[in-house]
Amino acid sequence: MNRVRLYRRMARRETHSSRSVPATAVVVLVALVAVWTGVETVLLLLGRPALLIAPPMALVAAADLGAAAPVPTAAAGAATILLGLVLIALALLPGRRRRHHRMTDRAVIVIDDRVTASSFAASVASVARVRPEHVRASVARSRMSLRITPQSGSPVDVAAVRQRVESRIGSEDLRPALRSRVTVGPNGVVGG
Amino acid sequence: MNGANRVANRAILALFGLVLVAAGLSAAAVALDRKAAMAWTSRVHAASRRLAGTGGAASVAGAPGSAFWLAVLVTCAVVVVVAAVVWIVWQRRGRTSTAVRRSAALPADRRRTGDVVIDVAVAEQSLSEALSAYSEILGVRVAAFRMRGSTALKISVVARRGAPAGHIATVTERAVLAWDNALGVEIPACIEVVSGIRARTGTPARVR
Repeated sequence: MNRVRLYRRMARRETHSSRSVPATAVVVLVALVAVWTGVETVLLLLGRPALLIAPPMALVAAADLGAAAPVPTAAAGAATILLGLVLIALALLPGRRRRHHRMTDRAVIVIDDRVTASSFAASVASVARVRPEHVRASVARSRMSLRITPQSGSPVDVAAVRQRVESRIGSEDLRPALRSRVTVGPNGVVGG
Repeated sequence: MNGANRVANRAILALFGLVLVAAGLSAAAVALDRKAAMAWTSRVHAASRRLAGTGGAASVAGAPGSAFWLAVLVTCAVVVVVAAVVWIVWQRRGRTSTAVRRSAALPADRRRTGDVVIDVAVAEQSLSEALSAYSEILGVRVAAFRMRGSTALKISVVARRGAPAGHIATVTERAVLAWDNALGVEIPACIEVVSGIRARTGTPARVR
């Protein structure tokens, strides 16, 4: 397979959820129900007593219960509809993982957003001359926000910080492209 | 990055979601609308009679056709279980322990003299060693996957908290290039920079 196409495929696989976990959960559940149905039906065919309840009887009981107890049935129905909608949403939504990527000639590089955030936070802390704990960084799909809590008495050179952040974003060259927002908290921290 | 069929996963979720929505709507209809409830219960009773012979009591093979329907049910159940097992096993495919397989052949007489197989553990070990000097890198794991005929390596690098991620990626890429030279072949690679639990609780790197 052509290298560029392979790399694009790899990048896509690494940045989006495969939905293996929920799909496997569904398959296992269906398999368990099938096993139970099969066992019960075989017992019915053999004339043996049922383990729990024979499937046809279960359907009858459910229908009767549904008619007799409307409120719990309606509630159960609503819950089931909700669960069904959640599964449909899982199927249709892209499921982007929290990471950004870039491609070089040699490799596809994928970086967790948490790593990107903490690395920018450390770098900002150094330029702003505050402790790393006083910088809060968060990375979203196209926005990175950095919040600095300054030390009281020492103002932060916001322009210098912004410039450093912009130049690093440029050099990191991650996709989807990140826009940064640097804010300095109004409250200073004493000491430290 | 394995061969799990992502489209199939989503199709299964969508299908089951629709089934649940349909079931929920019928339950709600039965609960809220008296007429729907009566139509539903009578239909279920009739179907159960066909399956189990009598409506309600657990008597066996009452009606002549019931054994047939029950057998059909069992067959369907078996098919479903087999399909499920196959599917679960299929999810794990693609992962391989072989990073490179080269057949050494002499062009002169076109005979294959043997295969050179390089295990993925070798890749992990050599990259680990190459990167051990960097204190920002806490660990290296390498896994190999077969994708559309080619083998691709996924190199997971654990970064220390606060360490410059881009720089770590570049350093790893350089180590991979050096390994390419030593190996004589370039294997498609994905470099993944992650944070580990240790990375989160350890001392953050001070940027100088």
